[in-house]
Amino acid sequence: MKILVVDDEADVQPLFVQRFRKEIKSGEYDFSFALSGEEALSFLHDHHSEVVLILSDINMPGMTGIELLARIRHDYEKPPPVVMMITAYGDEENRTQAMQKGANEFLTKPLDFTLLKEKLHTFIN
Amino acid sequence: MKKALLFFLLLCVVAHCKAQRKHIDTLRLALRNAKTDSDRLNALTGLSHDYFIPNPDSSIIFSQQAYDLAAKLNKPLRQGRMLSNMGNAYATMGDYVKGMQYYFRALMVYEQLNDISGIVTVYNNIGSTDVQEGNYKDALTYLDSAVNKWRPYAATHKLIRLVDRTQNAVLNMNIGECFLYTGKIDSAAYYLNLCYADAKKNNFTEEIDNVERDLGEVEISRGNKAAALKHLLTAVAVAKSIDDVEMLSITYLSTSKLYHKFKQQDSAEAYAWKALKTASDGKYEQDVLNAGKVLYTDYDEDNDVADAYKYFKLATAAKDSLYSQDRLKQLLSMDFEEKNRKQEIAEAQLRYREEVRMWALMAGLAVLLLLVLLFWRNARNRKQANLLLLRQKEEIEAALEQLQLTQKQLIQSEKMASLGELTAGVAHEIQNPLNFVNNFSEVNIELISEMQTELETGTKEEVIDILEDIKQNLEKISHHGKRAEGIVKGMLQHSRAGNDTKEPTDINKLVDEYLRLAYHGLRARDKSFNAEWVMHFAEDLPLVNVVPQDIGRVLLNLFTNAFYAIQQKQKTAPAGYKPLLELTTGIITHAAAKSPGGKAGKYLQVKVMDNGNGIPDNIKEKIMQPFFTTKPTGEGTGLGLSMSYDIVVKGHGGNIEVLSKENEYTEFTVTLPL
Repeated sequence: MKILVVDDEADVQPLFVQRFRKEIKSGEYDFSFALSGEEALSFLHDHHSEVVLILSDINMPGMTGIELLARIRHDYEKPPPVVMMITAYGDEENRTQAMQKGANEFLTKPLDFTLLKEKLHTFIN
Repeated sequence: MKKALLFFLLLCVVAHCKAQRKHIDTLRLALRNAKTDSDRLNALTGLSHDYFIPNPDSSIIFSQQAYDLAAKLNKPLRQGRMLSNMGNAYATMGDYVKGMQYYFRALMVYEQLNDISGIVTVYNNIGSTDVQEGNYKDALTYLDSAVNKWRPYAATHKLIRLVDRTQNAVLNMNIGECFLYTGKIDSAAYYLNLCYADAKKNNFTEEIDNVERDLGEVEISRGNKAAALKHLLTAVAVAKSIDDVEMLSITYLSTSKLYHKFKQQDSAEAYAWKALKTASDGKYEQDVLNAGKVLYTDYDEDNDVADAYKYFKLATAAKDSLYSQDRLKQLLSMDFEEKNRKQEIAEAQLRYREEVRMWALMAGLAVLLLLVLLFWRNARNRKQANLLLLRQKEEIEAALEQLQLTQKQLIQSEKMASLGELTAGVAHEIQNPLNFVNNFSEVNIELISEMQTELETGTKEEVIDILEDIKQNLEKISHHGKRAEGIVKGMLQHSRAGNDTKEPTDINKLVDEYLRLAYHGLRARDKSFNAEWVMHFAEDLPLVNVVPQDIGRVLLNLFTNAFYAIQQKQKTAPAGYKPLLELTTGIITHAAAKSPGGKAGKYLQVKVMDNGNGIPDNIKEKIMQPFFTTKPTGEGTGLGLSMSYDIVVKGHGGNIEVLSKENEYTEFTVTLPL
């Protein structure tokens, strides 16, 4: 299962690789990474059918996670990918906005990977 | 010819006399028929005048009535005239005491009224009476006063009343008589002729009568018998015509004197006798005395002792009557009273002058008091003004102190506000490294337990791989831990007040840090906002000696402003608008003239350019002023740029410049000396 992770912090990539070592090794998850909303859209353009789930940061230079979410919901109706927002701004206003824009889940940093894995299982099954 | 003239004159006099009688009858009728007090008064006044010559007794009665009525009608001038008339009547009848009393009363009235005509008339009458009394010196004094008062008055006033028109003639006559009786014949002739001409010209009958007699006397003294006789005959005729009994008596006596002088003793005696008879018939005692004196002297000269004795007795009786002890006393007392009155007047004048002086003094004192009051008030006002000024000064100083305090507080709150803006951004900035620290630590814990398993069962290579991962992760933990530390340190530095020590600072790092703070600060408030930035950092920048938190505050301000400008433009800009921030750092070399500190040399430059809405030309001058802001009320303190200016220019000897085009771009350039 292909998961796209969008975050402007480059260290997010080794973190995910490390945290999902076993799942990657077993072939359960296949991770791709984008450093901005724009890069994510271009990746989706090429690999639309492969990507099942998108994890995106909200606060990024250029296109924000919310904007990216809106674009995805607008551009890719069938099949609609699962989009989970991961942000440092864990306030209710931000959460409500994200959910209204069509986010499937709203998680806060520092990211609890045990929780994330549970959510991924829930959505996949 | 001369006879004819005399006859004509006699005719005139007779006509006058008849007219006088007729006039009296008319007046009596008018008095009976008078309907008003005013009419009555006029009739009584007329009768007072008209009865004077033929019947002074009656004149006194009418004068008294007129006087009372005038008093009732409040006509003081008329009262004066009536007093004068009564004086005349009494004096004519030989009662000089009463005459003088009335004259002085009249004089008082006229003096009170300041009626010159009246005063002169009374002076004239007193003078005339003194002449008859033989007090020629007094007479001349009064007459002199009368002339002095009358001349200026006559020159400036129109003379209508008979009393005024005859005034001059009477004056000249009285003066003439005075000289006549003191033997100054030529002077007498001069004044009498003046009177004569005046009287003739204006047909003043009474004055003609008098002056004819007087001129007769003059001619007697000069020894001109014919001329003297002619004057005396005319005087007799006129006196008869106007019923002037006294005048007739006097004229007879003068005629007697004439004949006596020219040794016609019989005629002299005859006329003296006529004079005596006429005087005694008319009760003119003075004239009786005079005639009596002449007769007894004549008879004495004739050695007719019996007759001389008879006339002597008669004269003595008349004299006794005239100069009785009482009368003398009365005259003396009257003189005393008059002197008293004069003294009283003088005293009154003195009192008046003293009063005037006192009032002047009082007025002076009042003015002085007023001045003192004014000065006092001025001084008080000035004192109050000074007090007010002092109070205002204190208030202003207090207000200034308050303002300075407020400004300090404002600056502090400006700092805190920018800090508050940052908090959210800072939180975000900390969450990100914290995310790595937490998760890489947990991964490492997992990796270590995996490694323990591998050590027991696995290969050496796998253990080495795991160790490599652990090492990498620890590096990341360390890196992000330091990153968080840096953020927290920056935040603390930012809020720390009063630490203004300069230290070598990496400006690129400072720019990066504060840009992130500013960006995230803004996004914390407006999550839909985002912008791109391009950094043109000079890589070989030396460390610059600045106060980091101060320059950081300047940068933060410039970034916040730039983001705000972009944000504002975004609201109205077309869809294709790409918000962009360009940051440039570098070293430039300034010539002395262009350098901020006036010294040639190398400078560090930080340029912050945004493609926001720009600054309108009309406010470019104001943007560095304290409290100037384009933000809505409550959103900006207006202190940001003014504080930045102070930090760069005053604190670091640098410069801030701005280039801008409305709706296109704004570029701030901060120049700091190396």
